[in-house]
Amino acid sequence: MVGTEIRRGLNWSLAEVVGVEAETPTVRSITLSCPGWEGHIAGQHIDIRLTAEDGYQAQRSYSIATRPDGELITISVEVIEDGEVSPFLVEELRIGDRFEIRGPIGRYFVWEPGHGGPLQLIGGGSGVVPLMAMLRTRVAGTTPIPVRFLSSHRSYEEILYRDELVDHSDVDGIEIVTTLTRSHPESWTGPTRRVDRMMLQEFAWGSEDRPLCYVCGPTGFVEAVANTLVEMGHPPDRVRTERFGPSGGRG
Amino acid sequence: MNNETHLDGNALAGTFVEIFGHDMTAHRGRCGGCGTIDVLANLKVFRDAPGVVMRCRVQLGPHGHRHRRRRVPGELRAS
Repeated sequence: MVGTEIRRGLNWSLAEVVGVEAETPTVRSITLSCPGWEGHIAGQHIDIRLTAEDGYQAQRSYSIATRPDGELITISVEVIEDGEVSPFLVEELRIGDRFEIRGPIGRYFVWEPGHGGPLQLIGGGSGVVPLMAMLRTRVAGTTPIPVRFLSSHRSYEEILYRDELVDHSDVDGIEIVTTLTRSHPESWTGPTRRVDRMMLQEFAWGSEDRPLCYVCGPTGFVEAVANTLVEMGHPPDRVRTERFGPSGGRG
Repeated sequence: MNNETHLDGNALAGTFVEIFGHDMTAHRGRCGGCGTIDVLANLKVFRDAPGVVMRCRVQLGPHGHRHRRRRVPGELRAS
């Protein structure tokens, strides 16, 4: 099994786009069919490689948003202004297109039910993508691990997976909280502050609950939240982080 | 360097597989500069430098003052 994992992680293979869906005005989910895909763990990512006609290549990493589903995986890509790759993926890529991928990659920022809980997931912007894979895994699984999912977005229109999160919040033991930091509708009754210590005290598991924490998003967001969690008493080895760089990605 | 622009060791997971044959992000290493032990996933990674620069996360000197760390990453010894 380990040998197989190493070989797959090393090799580039051709994946085909079989589905595209606009999640928000700036985020598109892309479903890929990956021949020979042997499954993955929530939190892992794929590297993709695009080759232009003149041979120029660009490589990026994208977290897998879905739980294992045969040879299908879905990534959710946020368009970065002046980005090199994301505008193509979000605005031009079509069903039937193919590009190279390798993966699944990652053994640190991963969660499966065997890891236990309670589970604290904190995401900023597109940082919620790998956390969504974890939440989807938990919802589909049989182990009733309690989850608190806290996401931060700039506006209502940018809440990623909004409708699905509403559905998950009806599941026993799953609590979903979203904070809107730049603008919010008049009817909004949720929080509107950044994920600071007060927010964590109100909505996150306390250190006495010994949760497994996963924090993902722009680098500044992750550093601030992770540092605060540790200041609040969470052991550093129970706070796992993945930084997406400024404004959520490299473009 | 702008602290906002770095990634972390997770961004190099695929590269680790290429070079070492397996993902190293969950492996712990010890910084040869300050002795801090942490998983490679938590390294500060700068991709805009020539090549890729990986630096220890610890920035404070023994008296609590920030001091300039060497640009060359400390020698990592995987445990």
